[in-house]
Amino acid sequence: MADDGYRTALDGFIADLNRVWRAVGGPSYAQLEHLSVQVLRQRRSGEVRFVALAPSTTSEILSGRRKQPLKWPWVLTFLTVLRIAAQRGAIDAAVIGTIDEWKRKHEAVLAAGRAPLRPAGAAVAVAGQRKHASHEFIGVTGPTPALALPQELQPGLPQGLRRVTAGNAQESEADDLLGAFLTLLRRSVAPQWWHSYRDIAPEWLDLYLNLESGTEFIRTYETGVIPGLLQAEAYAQAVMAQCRPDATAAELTRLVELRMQRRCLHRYRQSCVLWAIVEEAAFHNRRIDARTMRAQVGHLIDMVEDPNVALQVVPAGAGDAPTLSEPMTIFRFPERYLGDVVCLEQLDRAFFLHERKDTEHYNQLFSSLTVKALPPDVTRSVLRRIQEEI
Amino acid sequence: MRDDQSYEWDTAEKDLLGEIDTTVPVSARIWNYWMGGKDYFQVDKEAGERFLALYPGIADLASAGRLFIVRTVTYLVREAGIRQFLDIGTGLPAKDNTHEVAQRIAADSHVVYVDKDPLVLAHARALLTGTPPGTTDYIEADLNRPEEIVRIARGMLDFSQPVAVMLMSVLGHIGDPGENDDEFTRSVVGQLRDALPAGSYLALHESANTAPAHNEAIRIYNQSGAVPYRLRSVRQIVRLFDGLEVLGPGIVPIQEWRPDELSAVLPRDIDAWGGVAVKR
Repeated sequence: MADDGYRTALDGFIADLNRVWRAVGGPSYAQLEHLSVQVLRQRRSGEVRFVALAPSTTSEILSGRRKQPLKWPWVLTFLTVLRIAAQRGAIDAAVIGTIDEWKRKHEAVLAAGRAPLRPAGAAVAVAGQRKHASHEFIGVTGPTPALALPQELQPGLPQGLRRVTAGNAQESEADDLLGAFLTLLRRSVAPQWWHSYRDIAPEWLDLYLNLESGTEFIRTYETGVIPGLLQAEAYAQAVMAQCRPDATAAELTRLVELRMQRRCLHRYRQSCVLWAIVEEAAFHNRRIDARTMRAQVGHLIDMVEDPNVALQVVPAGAGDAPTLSEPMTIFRFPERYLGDVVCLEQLDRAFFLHERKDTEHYNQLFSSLTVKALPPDVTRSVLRRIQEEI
Repeated sequence: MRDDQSYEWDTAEKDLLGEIDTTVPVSARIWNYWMGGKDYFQVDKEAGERFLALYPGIADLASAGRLFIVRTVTYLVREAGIRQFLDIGTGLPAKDNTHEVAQRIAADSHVVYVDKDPLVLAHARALLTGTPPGTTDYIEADLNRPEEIVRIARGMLDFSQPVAVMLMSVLGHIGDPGENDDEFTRSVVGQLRDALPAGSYLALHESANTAPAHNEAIRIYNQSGAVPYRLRSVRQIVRLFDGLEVLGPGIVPIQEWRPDELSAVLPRDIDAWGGVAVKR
């Protein structure tokens, strides 16, 4: 397999993938992933047509670091997703070519891998071709690919994404693009009640809570837990203890208190609508004891009676029902001139997006989830069933 | 695995994005854009902008259409005593949706929302919810098959009591806009009318072909890939009320229909006509 002819053919193929990726504007790897995961919900039984495009895999493949043969479903998913990205960016997708062409190219690479004893002449011919290609795309493939990518296209960091981590980063963010939001949103929340929790809460929570207090419409998608605003106290304690194993008992108590205060405030502000979509897996979290979970489901059954709360559960399906890899929350504001802000939470950090092209992408994802998840009235009866089963 | 040779991009994209097609503009999302909402995608904004450039009056028409809904529902609940609504062609949630207007006046009003767009219906199910639950219902169905709507609605509404059917700027979407399908459209309205008990109402408005710029904007719009819309002459709109008794002030430009202080902020001459009629 490590034969030169194969490597050359593979490099040429990868250069072609890079060419079309760049030609459609170089969509971020995270964006490609989000587009790709939707397909898994559409998968017909027994067919392996599409796969999720994990950003790490995409990065490995496009940078030429991946040595294993590329599988056709990955190639097909990648190209299809590129076409969609191209159309959204009003870029002519014809540059991508036809499925047939790609299928032939891909088979040629596989064939090269299967024929290690090919006469040297053939390999040279392919190598010559390849040399041309590599010259043309120098900087994209090669040993240090990341340097050639603009910052905003780096793997795992969608375009226009603002990264809020810890410490000083927070301060510069506030002065930056999201600063306008903060200024506008602070209009109605003079004393920020959560400031007394700043010592224990993650830095990004400050921005998050600013957004939460200014919003009139929250759409949230969760994969493994019940969304914070819908958590019962005992459940919040259990989840918090898992998330923050480092925290002392006193700190945990305060973290839960903070969450409960958010919940109260949300319910008090009756004008704010919460639309939550939760994967069924969140109800089968084995690390939460049955009693706590039953109480949590009971709490949800009460909550969904509120006309300002809509909850939809995504059924686990045949066992391979895929999920988006991460939760997301979309904040909408009453001011006409303010666009949506999307928050992507990942373990100990969060990304905030506010550029229209990014937020539109997550709006579309949420839209497709609303259609695929069980409707709110069906969810209501599913909650009762889950409560009995726990 | 199916043979990939016969597998085309179009199919691949459809498989990938599921039921939400974000490559063609969608009427409900364009109306949302015109009305200053935020539930539109880039493709809808572009189609909406193109329309506005040719016919700026569409923004006022869109707002006037919403106000017409508010006035007709208010009339039907308050003056006509109606408590059951079949709102066909719901669209995305806006300010003052049918059930909100109706239930503000009479809390026991029951509204059934009907739309064929799964995205619109998902929004309705989550956001157009009455208090207590059960006073709003939802049907995913196509107005091209009215018998199906009636069949499902019978299980939700009491068809021995009057029902108000709302057809707000939706009839232009049905039938085949390439043909003179007035007869088909009238038969759709007729089937709904025939299914309803005496004392039921029809509230309707349609965009009219009364402005050349509007006609041109629609012509371009109908090439965008969105579900086409057909403008009707005033005479054709009037005939949609066949077999019903039209209430005063008649079938008029929608801003002329029982105007209130809210409607005063918009121009009077809107290229959309409508009215309310009762089945005797």
